[in-house]
Amino acid sequence: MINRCDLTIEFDEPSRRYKTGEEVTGFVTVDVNKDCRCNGLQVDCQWRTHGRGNQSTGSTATDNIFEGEWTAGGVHRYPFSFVIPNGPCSYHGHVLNVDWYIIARANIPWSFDPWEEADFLVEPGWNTAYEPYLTGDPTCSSNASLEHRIQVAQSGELGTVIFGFAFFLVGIIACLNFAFDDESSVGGLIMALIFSAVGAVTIYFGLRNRLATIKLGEIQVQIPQKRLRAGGIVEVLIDIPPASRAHLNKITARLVATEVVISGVGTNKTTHTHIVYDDPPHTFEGSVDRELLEGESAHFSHRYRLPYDVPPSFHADENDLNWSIAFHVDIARWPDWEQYRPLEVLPADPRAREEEQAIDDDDWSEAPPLTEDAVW
Amino acid sequence: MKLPFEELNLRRNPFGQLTAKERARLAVVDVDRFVQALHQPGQVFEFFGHSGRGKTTHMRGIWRHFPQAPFLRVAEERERFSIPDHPVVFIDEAQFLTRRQRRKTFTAQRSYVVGTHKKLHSIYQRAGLHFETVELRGLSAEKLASIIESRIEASRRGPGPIPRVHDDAIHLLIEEFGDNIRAIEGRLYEIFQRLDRPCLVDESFLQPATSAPTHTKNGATARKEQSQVGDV
Repeated sequence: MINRCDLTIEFDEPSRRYKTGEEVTGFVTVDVNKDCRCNGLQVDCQWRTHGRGNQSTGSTATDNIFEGEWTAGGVHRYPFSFVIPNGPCSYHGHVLNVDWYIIARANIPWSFDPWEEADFLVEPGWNTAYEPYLTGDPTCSSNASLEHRIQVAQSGELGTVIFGFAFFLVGIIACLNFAFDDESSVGGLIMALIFSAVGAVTIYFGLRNRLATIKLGEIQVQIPQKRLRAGGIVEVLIDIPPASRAHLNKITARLVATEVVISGVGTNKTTHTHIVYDDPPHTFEGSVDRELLEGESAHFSHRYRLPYDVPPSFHADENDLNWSIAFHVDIARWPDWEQYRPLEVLPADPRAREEEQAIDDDDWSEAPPLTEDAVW
Repeated sequence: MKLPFEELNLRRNPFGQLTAKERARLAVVDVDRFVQALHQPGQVFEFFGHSGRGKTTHMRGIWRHFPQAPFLRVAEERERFSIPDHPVVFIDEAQFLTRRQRRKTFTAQRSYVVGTHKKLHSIYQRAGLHFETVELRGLSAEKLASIIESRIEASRRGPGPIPRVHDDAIHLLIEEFGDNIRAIEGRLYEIFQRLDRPCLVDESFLQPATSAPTHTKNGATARKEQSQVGDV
């Protein structure tokens, strides 16, 4: 039986900073105080989430770097080497963090297997092809195709109406019960009224876009490039074919990035969200105080640049960083129209950034350079 | 970009979500008497209490001594449920077992560790099991201090100072959250997110974020301020 077996992980690069596509190399050092046999010294390279959500782990690259006898007192040092895939990059947020690890585990007969892990940073690379960038775990449901998530975003209205109607119905039945039952309490009536009110408000929000289309027709939103890099340009187009005369107060779009993680299981399941990026609403040119006439289609477009230092999208089981654009069409004296569309944001291309900086330094006043403290 | 929580000499936020194995390893529970008794068949230890009081943590602490034993969590939605063949079985959220499942699950040939929001005494009696209910209620300052200490120590990055939580802050946390350990962890998570160096977390840190003391980083806000989208 072994008494002590200490594993130490050393990186060849002391700063432990690597780029996607680079090779992470180093040594595992083993110190035993008694001669023993090792049935395998396994080294894994993997990413893992940590924070408020349940941990998710990426697919692992594994290497068995030793099998044999260890003698007490000697220094046993074994090299490891892994090529880092094209994402996900390290990310440190509020409820979500993504980090990379080297994990060494010794399989020693008749003993608890000693193990050690060390973290390292992965940043957007210079030498890596950017397509396809891995935004987390490709097998998890939230990493489904962007088109699928757009459909889900658009189909939420029906669910809201059904949910609201259920609340409203329960509230109305309880109110009727109060009216016909002498023994009902006032507290019960208040609860019934609250249920009815919540139901009515929910139905309104569910039907709001439908009501807006009575005035404005089927509003078409287009985002030609839904998968773009940080520092890239987002172009959004809105076509309104008015079904009747209407007055627009304005049309705005807002970019939002949110960390969404789930902790616990069963009855303890809790969702934690944290907004990491929320830029002020951008107003579409020509949309302020605009009179729309029936049958005259109106087209609006807006282009804006994402900063270079925003975090990229990330999707793994119960751990997501979602990007979306929230559109708001403010109609005078009529329910507004609102919709959000998911986006996929990839890390900035360091080469494009440097080239652009060389061409026009003035542009950079809008998108500040990376700092040591920045996420990227 | 720095390694996570490097400035605190930690590897992660100590009060973030743990894996089942980590939870078992860090459980601050006295499990010796349970472990000994469970080696005999026909024994049930039922951990009973509200959410966040440590039922699962106690179970994981015992499970660490029976790592081959099945640890089953019953889903709220009725699902097929089968018990693998093992002399000790762990069943969490047992209140969701259907009547039929309860009858089939508990037999005198095995021992059980059960986590539940609802006492299931009649089921154990009917199965001829000897049972003991451990009601998880109340939390002493000493116990909370040792839970906090073990969580921070397990996240240590290297030798040197790491953040500590002052006794006064521990008493205040118990005053505010009672025995709800999960809520206390949530509060400490937020505090540790704001720290920017190893320090003693005292009662002043339990003030709302706007009036919190100066050893804090304001990462999210700073990032937002840095990242303004520019119209093209």
